[in-house]
Amino acid sequence: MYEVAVKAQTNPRPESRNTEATGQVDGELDPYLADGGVRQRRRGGRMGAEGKWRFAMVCSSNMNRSMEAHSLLGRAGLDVASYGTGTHVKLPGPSIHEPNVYDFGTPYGTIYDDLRRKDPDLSVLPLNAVFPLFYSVSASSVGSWYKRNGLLPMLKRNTSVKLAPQRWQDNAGDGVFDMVLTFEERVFDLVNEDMNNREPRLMKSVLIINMDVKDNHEEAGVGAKLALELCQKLQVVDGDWEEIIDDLMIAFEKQHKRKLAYNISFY
Amino acid sequence: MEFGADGARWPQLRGEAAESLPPPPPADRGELSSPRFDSSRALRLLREFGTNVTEDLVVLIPNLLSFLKHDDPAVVKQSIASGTNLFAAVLEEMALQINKFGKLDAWLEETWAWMNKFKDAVRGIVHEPGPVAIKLLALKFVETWILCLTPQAHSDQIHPEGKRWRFDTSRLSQFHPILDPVVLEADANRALVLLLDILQSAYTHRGSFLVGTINSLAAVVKNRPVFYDRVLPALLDFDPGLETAKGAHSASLRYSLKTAFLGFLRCPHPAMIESKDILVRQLRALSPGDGIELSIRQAEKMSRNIERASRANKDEPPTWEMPYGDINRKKAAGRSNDGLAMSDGTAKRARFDMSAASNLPVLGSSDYSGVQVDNDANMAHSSDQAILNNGISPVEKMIEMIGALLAEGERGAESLGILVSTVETDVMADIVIETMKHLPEAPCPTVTHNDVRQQNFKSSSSLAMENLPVNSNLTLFSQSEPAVDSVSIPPSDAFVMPSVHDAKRDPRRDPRRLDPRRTVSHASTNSIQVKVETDSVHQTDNLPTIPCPISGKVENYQDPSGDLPQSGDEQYTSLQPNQTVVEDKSELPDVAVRPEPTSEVEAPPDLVVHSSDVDVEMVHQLPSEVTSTDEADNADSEVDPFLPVSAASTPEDTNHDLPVIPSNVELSDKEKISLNKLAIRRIIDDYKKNSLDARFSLLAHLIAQSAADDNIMDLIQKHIIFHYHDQKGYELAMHVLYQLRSVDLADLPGSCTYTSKHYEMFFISLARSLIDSLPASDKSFSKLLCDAPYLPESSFKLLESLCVSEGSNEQIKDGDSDRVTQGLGTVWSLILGRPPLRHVCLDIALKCAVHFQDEVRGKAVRLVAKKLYDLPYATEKIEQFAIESLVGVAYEQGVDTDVNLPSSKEPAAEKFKFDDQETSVSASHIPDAGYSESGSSKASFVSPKQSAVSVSEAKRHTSLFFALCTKRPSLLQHLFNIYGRSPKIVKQCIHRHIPGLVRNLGSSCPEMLDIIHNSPEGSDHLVTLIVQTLTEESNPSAGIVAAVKHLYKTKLKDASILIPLLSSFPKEEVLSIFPRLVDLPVVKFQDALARILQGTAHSGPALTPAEVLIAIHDMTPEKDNVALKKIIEACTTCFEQRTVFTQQVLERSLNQLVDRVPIPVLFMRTVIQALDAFPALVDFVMGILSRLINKEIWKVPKLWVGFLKLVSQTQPRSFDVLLQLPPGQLERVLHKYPNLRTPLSSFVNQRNMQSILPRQILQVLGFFNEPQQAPMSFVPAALQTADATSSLPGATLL
Repeated sequence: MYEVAVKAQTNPRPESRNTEATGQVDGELDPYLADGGVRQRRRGGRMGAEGKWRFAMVCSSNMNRSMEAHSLLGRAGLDVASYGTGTHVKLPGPSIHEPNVYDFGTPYGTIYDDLRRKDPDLSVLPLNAVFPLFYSVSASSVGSWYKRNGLLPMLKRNTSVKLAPQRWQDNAGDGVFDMVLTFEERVFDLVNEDMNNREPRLMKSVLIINMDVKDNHEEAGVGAKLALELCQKLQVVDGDWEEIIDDLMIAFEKQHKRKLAYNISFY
Repeated sequence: MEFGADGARWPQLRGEAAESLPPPPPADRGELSSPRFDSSRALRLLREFGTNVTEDLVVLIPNLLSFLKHDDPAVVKQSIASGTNLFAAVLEEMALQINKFGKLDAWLEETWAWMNKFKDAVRGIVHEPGPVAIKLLALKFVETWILCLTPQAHSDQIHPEGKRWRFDTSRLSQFHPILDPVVLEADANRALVLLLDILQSAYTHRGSFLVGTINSLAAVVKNRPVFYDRVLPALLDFDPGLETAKGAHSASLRYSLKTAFLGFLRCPHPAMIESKDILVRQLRALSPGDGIELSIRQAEKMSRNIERASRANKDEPPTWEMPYGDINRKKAAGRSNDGLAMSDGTAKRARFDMSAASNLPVLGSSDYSGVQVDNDANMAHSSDQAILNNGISPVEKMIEMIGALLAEGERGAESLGILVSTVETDVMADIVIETMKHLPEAPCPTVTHNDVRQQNFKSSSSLAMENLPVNSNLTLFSQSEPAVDSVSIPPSDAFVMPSVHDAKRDPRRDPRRLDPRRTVSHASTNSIQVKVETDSVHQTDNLPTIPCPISGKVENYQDPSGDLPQSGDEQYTSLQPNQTVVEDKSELPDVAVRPEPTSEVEAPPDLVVHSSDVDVEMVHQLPSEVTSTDEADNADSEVDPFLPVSAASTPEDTNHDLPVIPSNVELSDKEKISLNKLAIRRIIDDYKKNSLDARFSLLAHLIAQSAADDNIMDLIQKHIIFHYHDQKGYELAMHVLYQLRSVDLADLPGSCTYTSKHYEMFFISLARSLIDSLPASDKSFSKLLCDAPYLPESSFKLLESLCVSEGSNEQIKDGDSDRVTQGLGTVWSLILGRPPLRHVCLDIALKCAVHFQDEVRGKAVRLVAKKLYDLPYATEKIEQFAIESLVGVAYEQGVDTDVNLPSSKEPAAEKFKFDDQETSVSASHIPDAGYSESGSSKASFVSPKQSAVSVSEAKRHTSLFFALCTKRPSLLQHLFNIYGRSPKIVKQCIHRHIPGLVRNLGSSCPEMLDIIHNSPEGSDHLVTLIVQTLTEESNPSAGIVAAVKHLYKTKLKDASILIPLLSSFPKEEVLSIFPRLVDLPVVKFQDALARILQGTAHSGPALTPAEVLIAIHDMTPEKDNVALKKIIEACTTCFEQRTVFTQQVLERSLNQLVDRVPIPVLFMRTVIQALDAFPALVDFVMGILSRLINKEIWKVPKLWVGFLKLVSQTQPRSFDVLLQLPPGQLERVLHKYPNLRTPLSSFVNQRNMQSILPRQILQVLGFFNEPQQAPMSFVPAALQTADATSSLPGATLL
């Protein structure tokens, strides 16, 4: 798993090298100056321009699932942004207890370099026990551990999408979204909670949808395709989405055998 | 504050608005959505509405309202959005002004008035159907509205500075009549009810709207925990899986519920902490799994921390709790008793909460009573006290509040109603006592309600009646008022201002209607309700006219009675257990009857209470009420309210209080009945209007009494039927039936026949009219039969006649088939639902299963075989019946199992046994009864009986059996047993059925294989049929092959049985039985041939066509015991299939055959036939002929004949071959066919073959005698003709 589970969050041991690295980075770069960030800013002020929806893809670390969807939706020409809701960006490390932890805002490129630098030769460890998923993919192939488990390629991809992972809760200023898609119930909860804590001023409704997607390469790819389909369906809705959302959800669930849930909040 | 100072902020807007819209009078605001405001302009204008409250608003705000009716939904949305922000802002501004100056600017007041109008309009949007997007925003507005108009509980604790809500009433530090916290809170209550209302009618809404509603409710409760007790039950009752009319995504509904509950769980409010268990249970039910457990644990940890923190602060309790410490403590005590179950405890608690809640606003109004003094002199004293005392008691506060509300006029009245309805009884009593201290010396001039009525009764009724009204008065009093919350409240609520707020209040908007406490409070007043009910029921037994005053009463109080349906249920349930008591009491001797007209005269004066009187009256009225009702209440509350026993004891007490009835009027039976009739009619008419379910038991009793009268029964029946669909009719019917039945049982020894006859009559005629008046698809009839207390004998006849759709004897109309379904459906549900009647119903079903009408039978058979047969208690009986029916039709002449089931059962069974024996004994006597093509050979055996059984009869008696066979193949044995001996018709019938049955069973059914293995005598055809069917579509299974082979080897030497299996036989086996196949009739052989050549998919054909031909030729009559004729026929059969036996096939097989030693007898014949079929074979045939010459064909006479024939036919092509013959043979040929000589000679001449041909040949041809005999010229002609004939060789052959 890319984004380490809740249990891991309580792990008191921080990665000292990581924090160093992020500290550096924070001083140098503003994540919002990345391409994606700028674009979001510019459009942030507008309320759901005519016919064009603004989407937000949210997962836990703004690394895998949300970025995969961001990338795909962006390529499809949708107006999309992506966020994470965790307290930190967490990536798998040498063991389940030693995740790589970064602050939100640390550019993907920096994380990439950092991981490449400290890539351990992990062949000694019983890898398949720790990361069965990644290990099974390419245990025999040559190359670095992080490359093999797909972390580095993922980060490479992310750098082409936007500059740095962004935290949902800290980016209320990004403006109004028409739809927020979360990929995990916990993330869904956090987004809803955050929306409830904001004081509604614009009285502009926002649709928040959750679609559970497992945190791995394959599922993220599948999830992104579904996300694209869902968003495209929503964008072409004639009239208010509030009227058809129930039917749309039911139909989508039936078609893709996925469980969805939605909620309505207000800006 | 610089009001209006920054009006310049919207200069152009202002100008625009000012010129187009001078501040309009409220009346014509509807016209404001003028075309001048197109969408974009409107939106621009709306966006300019900030939260800045300035004088300009007065000008602009009407636009806000008018935009709510704009055509463009975007404008409407923006209008609500702006309104929502503005609402809070206006309130904030008002609070500021009030707190600062103690008064409001006029413009602000006007703005507020507009805001209120806007509020009402938005409320309308929530209510009415419309786009969900708009309604969602309206919900958000309502949420804001509630939050703004209620005080923030402990603002400092929850919201840090800057994040607090824009406004709440706790921020009002001074009183102002426009922002009276009590009124505002009442308003908020209304808004909450609006939200709760949505959940109640959830099924009519879209899922998204419901999600929004739940979110809003959760938000309200999170911010205002006071509402928790009202919202929680509504949310708990809400079923996220419900099917709404417009579709809802249940996972999302479940999620929003879950979020709401989790939010509650995290909330530190005591009420929520107490209901923790319920919340946790609910959460687990909503989304079981680890995730929820984690959330629950987190929430618990959180609430524990908060609890600990608050315990640490206990020394200085938060200020907001201070004045209500006593109430809160009580509340806590109430809570500790139980959970949230609907018990008396909850009722109490709910009321406590409410009184606490409604008390809260008084907090900040320490000096508003100063204002009140002007308005209401009566209240002066108490308000003075209030100012003086810091530790004001809740009662005093209540009085203050009531005073304040009264001063409000109409607006206040509404709130007062709510307030009063929520006040706890004790507090109410205290209030009354308190106000009594200040009663004027002189008796109150206005007469209270009770007095009016009693006086009326007294004055209008005769002396003999005098006591009754008091009695009935009590009854009707509580009958008409039970909807009101608690016993002490009805008088105040309904009597104080009936004209003011009853007239105004739309019952649907009554905030109490959906108040969850309402049900609760019924429970709490149960003891009294029960008392009332027992009284009334008790009296109805003896006083049939009681309903008259009731209806009169109800007309007067339409509004409160509109609430009754709910409470009716309540009463009804509470009544049930007491029914026996009631009946015991009915022994009482008082059969007193009051002439009914009086009641109508009496009632009207009650209404004369004017709103102007209200404030004066109220205070004076209360005391007089309390003396009567409060006593009862006190008595009640002393008894432990949690013990239901008290309910039983109170009635006794009250009964003793009732005056003894001194004298009675005896009425004749006739009079009684006519009175009954009148009463019933009135009740019915009444509840047609008001749908008062509560009257069911009353009606039932009355009806039971007048059961003898046909008119009444007709009346009631019509009524029931008419109302059957809204369930009222059904319920009434059940009530009546149970009542009749109970009377029946109670009087068992005496008038048993009398009443049971009534029961039966009523039941049957009701059932009949249900059938007649409702469509067949209606389930009511079935439900009636299933639920009725007892089914009389005749009901089965009715049911049966329905099943067979009697009445339309010969033809079944369309509708009747549905009737049959209905009848059978009823039978089915009766069998399931009423075990004692199983067998009777089963008999009906079985009778139908052999019914002569196809329609009926088909349906019944389906029912019996598919459903009933699976029931363990029915299986045996059904099986037996089906077998008997089958055996009967096979052996009997006229079988009449259908008509008299019980009587026919025995003989049929006996015969069956007898025949069974006979079969085994006589088997040896009929050795060749085995197989016959169409069963005709059997016909002679049974011919005498044949005429007796018609086709339809046979069908009728066998269809059930066949249906059962599908379920239990072992039954097939019976079929085989009877098959051999059954008449032709029955056989045909069986033949028709068998394929379908066998197909259903499949080829691997062990029972069937067993039977095939040892098929009984005479069933060969059946077996063949089965085997055929089985192999029709798929390859036969190994089991069936083995079984059939066994059969073939042991008993049945007929190879035709093997035909269906041939395709799966290997080559050797086919070859071994091939002669037997050839020996079969041509048709069968064709079939066999087809199967042999077809083979199975994976093994290919057993024999190739060439092999088949060879096999045929290899047979000899002597060796294989097959007539030559049969072999020839087989050959012909092959040649007929020219697509299979192609030229190549023939070539191949002939090539092989020619090498056989000896050459097969039929060889030449086949060659001739082959050439016949394929003339192109001629070259090939010439080759064959040459080979034959080499084999000295002339030595085999049979073939030699054929050879010559062929040669003669194929001339001149055969000349080459002819010339190969030895001279001796050639001579013989020429001798036999002299006409060959000339063409042959000319052939030799033409080819100049004299030089190559041996001399002897030439001699035979006679060349040496006349060498120039054949002129060159005619040869071509001869050749031509020869060619021509050779193309038609068959013309001369054979």
